[in-house]
Amino acid sequence: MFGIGQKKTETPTEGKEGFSYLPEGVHYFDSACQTLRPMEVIQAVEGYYKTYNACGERVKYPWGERVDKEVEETREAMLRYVGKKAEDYVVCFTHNTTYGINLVLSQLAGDKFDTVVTSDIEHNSAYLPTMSFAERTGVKRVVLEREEDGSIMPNWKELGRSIWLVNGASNINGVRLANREELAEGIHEQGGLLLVDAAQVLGHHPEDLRDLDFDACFGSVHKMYGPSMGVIVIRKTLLKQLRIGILGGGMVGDVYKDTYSLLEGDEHLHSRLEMGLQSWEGIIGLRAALKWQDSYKIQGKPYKEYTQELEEYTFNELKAMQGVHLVGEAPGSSIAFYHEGIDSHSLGLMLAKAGVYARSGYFCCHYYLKNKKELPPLLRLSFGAHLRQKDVDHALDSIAHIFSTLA
Amino acid sequence: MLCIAAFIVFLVLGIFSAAYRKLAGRAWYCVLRRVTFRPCDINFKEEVKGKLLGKFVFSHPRVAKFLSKWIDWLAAIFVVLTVWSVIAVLLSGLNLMVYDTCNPRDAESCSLGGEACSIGTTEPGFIEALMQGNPHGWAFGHVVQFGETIARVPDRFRSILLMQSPMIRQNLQR
Repeated sequence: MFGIGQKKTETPTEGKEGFSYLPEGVHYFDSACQTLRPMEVIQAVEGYYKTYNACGERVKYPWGERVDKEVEETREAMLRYVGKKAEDYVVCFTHNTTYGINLVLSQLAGDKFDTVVTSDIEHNSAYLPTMSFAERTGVKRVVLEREEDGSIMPNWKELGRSIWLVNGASNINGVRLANREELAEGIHEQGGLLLVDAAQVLGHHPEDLRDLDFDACFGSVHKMYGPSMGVIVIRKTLLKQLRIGILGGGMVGDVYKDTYSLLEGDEHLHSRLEMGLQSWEGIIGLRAALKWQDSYKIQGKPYKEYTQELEEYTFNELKAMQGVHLVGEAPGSSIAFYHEGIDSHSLGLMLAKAGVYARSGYFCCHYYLKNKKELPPLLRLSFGAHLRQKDVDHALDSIAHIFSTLA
Repeated sequence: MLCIAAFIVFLVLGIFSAAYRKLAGRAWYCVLRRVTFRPCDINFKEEVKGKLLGKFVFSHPRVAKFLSKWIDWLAAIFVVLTVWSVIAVLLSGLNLMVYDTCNPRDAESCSLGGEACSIGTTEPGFIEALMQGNPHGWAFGHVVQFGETIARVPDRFRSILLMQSPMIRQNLQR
């Protein structure tokens, strides 16, 4: 057994470069909610606060100019990260994925579309806005089933010209949208739009987005090692199509008594979804996170490769435990399961005593997990770059101990 | 039953620490649902259970196993004993006020009473009544006793007032 229930100390953790601030005895398995931030990101944010704490895109003094430069670099870096060109796409910053999705859908007219399509495993952040969109516009809403491998098999004739809002990877078990490119092709042939909830994809599998012809993708920077913030990468033609009704500072060219004009020119398009002051420290932190991701290695290999090995190992070990029911057939960036004899909330609380921090419940996927599959509350282990084999061993040993004691 | 037990515990702990007051509030919501025969908030129940078992599962696995198996029964026993204790205290207080002894059937057994006298009762206790197959008779006897006690409350207040207030005494004598 590996140190079960050992008293936690506050000495920093060795062997976790970039995350050495973590106290010994803490094993954080909730990266699907938000990832831990490497020191480089923390230092970048701290540096902004301490040395050039100014608003961007509004001021002419040196601090502000520095912010403008870094924000611009972040937009370019984000486009490169998802493999898109500045001629075609724009990067906008928001609060989070949920806010971004609602921002676009609430300002999108429905008159040219026959259906709004989503899938059954979507997070509430995507599932619910399609309901409000359908209610607001009168467009028919369609919920399609995801196959076990994550693919969706639509009947194109029934859908017509459709707006699709689907995740690139599930926050339940990390299953990816397997036939995404084929879907994009089919959607665009019908004149539709593909909107991707990329909250779980951006931090783990950005390569899925690079060859994908999406119209917009929505992400949470706090799930990709950056500060708490959202990001949208949106096709310019779609952005220009939106009926901008959520207004504020930073987006107008001029304002008269009863009218206004939005900023003109492609270089200002991002402002249409960036009303008010932005999280400048968050944008600067995102830039640092993207740089860090390019270079971070664990045991000589890219951290994503190492983390995938941990995911596979954990999945197989849990699968072998008696009484455990896993959601899905294959490992992913998250692993969700329940035990026949032990409630997952209780399990989560007990694991917390051993320093294993994991989320329990339905992970904002109530429709699929609670009402469609009628599963009891689950426990989710989600993986990040700060985890090492010893963290996984400790978590599995703790879980096995609880099961053997109480089940 | 765990919710009701939790409410009692958190209510008492909440007197001393604000941290428990929120939990007491959640437990109270659970109690309201339970007494109206609706399911309790499963999350709260499992949260209480998880926190309790979490204290022992790694350090004292056998204790955790025992608690896990019997926690609902233990909670039920705790609630019954607490409710019974509260009723006993309230009844004793009422008896003390009315009869000057907390146990009118056996005044000498009550250390709080004044110099009350009683003729010792030969009525059976609960266990004896149960063994005799007459628990309802035992319960009925207590209900009758309670009714008599309540009926004497106005007279008792009158006596107390007379003793305390010379002016009232004088007015009554006129």
